[in-house]
Amino acid sequence: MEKVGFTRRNFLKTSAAVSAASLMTNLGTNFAHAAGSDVIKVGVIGCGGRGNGAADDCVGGGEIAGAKVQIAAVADVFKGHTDHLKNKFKIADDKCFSGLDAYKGVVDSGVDMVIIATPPGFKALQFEYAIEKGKHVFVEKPVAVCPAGVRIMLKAGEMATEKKLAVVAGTQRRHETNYIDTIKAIHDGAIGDILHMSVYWCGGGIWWRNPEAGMSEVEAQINNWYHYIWLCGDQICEQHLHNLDVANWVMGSHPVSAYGQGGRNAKMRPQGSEIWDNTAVEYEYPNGGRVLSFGRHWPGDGNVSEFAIGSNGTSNPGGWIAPKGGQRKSFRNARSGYVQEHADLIKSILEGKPLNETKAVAESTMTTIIGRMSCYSGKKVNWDWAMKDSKLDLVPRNLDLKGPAPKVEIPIPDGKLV
Amino acid sequence: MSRWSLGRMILPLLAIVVPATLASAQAKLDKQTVNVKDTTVQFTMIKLPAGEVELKLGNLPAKKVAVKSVWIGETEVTWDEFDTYAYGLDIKDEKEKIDSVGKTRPSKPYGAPDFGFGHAGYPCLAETYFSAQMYCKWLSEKTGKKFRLPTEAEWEYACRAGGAPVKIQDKDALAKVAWFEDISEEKSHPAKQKAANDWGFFDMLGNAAEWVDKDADAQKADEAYDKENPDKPTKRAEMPVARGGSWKDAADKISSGQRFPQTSQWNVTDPQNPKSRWWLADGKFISFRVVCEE
Repeated sequence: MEKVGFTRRNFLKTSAAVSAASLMTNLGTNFAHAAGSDVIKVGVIGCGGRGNGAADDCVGGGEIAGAKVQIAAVADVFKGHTDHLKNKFKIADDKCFSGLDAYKGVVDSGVDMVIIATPPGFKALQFEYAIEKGKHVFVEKPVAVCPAGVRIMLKAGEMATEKKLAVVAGTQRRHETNYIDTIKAIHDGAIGDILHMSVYWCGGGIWWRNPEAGMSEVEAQINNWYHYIWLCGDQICEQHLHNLDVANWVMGSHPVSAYGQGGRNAKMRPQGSEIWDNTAVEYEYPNGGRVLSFGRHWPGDGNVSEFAIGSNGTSNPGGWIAPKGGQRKSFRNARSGYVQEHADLIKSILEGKPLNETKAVAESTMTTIIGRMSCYSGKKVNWDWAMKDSKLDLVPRNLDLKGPAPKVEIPIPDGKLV
Repeated sequence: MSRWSLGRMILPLLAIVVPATLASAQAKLDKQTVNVKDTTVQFTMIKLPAGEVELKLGNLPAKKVAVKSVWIGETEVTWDEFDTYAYGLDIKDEKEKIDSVGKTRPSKPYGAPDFGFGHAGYPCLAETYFSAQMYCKWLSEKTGKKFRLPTEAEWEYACRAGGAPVKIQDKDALAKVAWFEDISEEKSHPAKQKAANDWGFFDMLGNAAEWVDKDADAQKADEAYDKENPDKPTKRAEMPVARGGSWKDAADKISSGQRFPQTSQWNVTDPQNPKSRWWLADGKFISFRVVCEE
């Protein structure tokens, strides 16, 4: 095995040092509301089930952090989708926005923070705009569907640091004590060096929404966004990201390459769906370790979890460690990560120590993207190539909401890097 | 002497002792195998004899309830049965299958509702009370017979095999009939791995708790409580009840009389609003068995 000038523990020490340094910043004007008002005004961009849920979680997180959250503006591509939050939080008509540019209305409406819970393809440009306008952000995962989107996220994330803006991503496992405590034990060496992980999102399937009367092709695809690669990124990106994010967290790095395969069984997907129903990817990490990823939408034995094999034991990073010859130890979660992540975000704003999770979630997103690219192409995909040289950019910039759907080839492993 | 009988001897400290309605706890009851058309679904039901059971529900006074003779599942509904319904495996037309999702069939679960515990032969898990009711409706349509969830009285009568309340304090004795916290390894287990009770029912105690139709007096009491406590975020009257305890419960929670009203924690990690009406994101300990009236 080739040795690299990098070890897990060194990486962690370096990370800790950088993190401590980043906190030694002066407070900026972005925290004025915390000092001058006890209300944090929040705008919600994307009012589907997750956006509506995140709004409630944000209010709950605010209570825990000691701040009052006011859901003050809402946006969705579809006008009717904002009604639930509009009515629940008594939001004025002029703070409710619809259409493809509705997110700009929310960002520019005088809010302190935005929740971005739109389909993954839209998130990078919306995030960039929010950061440019000086807003704190909660952004759901995944944050992009292609390398071009990941690059936008990383650049905007750096801008957030410069502007002292807080960013928390919807990788809620990073805010759950069962994961935090277990992975701390792993990083403290409880089961030795991590040599291998297997991570799974093998679930039963996903919804399909038929086009509604009068919808254009673009509207129909946005309404049924999970099934289109330019909007969703496929299952490995949309759902399995959570488990690959845990892998990166445990391994202390993003992978250096991905080698995958998969496919789509006609019976498992409705006609017209672009996404696959199974992927299996082997990732190589800088320390030579491997992570095997399984994503699947089939009936049958399910598994949504992670498993790690160390040189001195095993672990499910979501709750236990079993050192070789030692006592198995379990770790419990204290509170729903969906609420805790908002509490941590708001607390970091109030304390003037803004969290910024952009890099971690962008790298986890890129991890899923190179996995998908390898599955689709049949090629081994290197991280550095994808990050620097890939031209893949799936999201149209001048989309016509009433127009035809973007042309996307349904992928087959044909040697092309789709 | 069956293992459940042994357990009762070890622990005769029950506050309420109800005479068995059958002369012998060892009585052999009728069984039938149910086959569901267009599917490979097959399961066994046992005929409950008509009788009477004394219920002690929470703070309500004890009461005697007559139980009609009905058929009740020998085990909890397993994934083998529930998958056929949930994934529309009996529907040939693709459009019909797609259109049924979230309407007459469950929505697609966000994660893995078996939680990786195991699938074939395991009790189905995480269905809401509504979802369990809809399964019964589907089963009724497929078989032409009326299926439903057991009432609290039916469930308890079957669990007690017509005898006294069951609460086994000796953990070794309990481990012979039930999966509970100390021995479950934090997961559910395949049906029929533990000894059946005297009437032949498996896993009524432990493994997975089971949805029942709430007793009418208990429902009235819940409604009264909600009226007196209007500020409580959770309305008791809106929360269905499960029985039997599960793999995650401590031994002292495993008994024929213990009731488990649903709490918000059973669905706390469903990230959507509204939350799924078909699946409980945290209901990794909930299942159900069915009753047939014919």
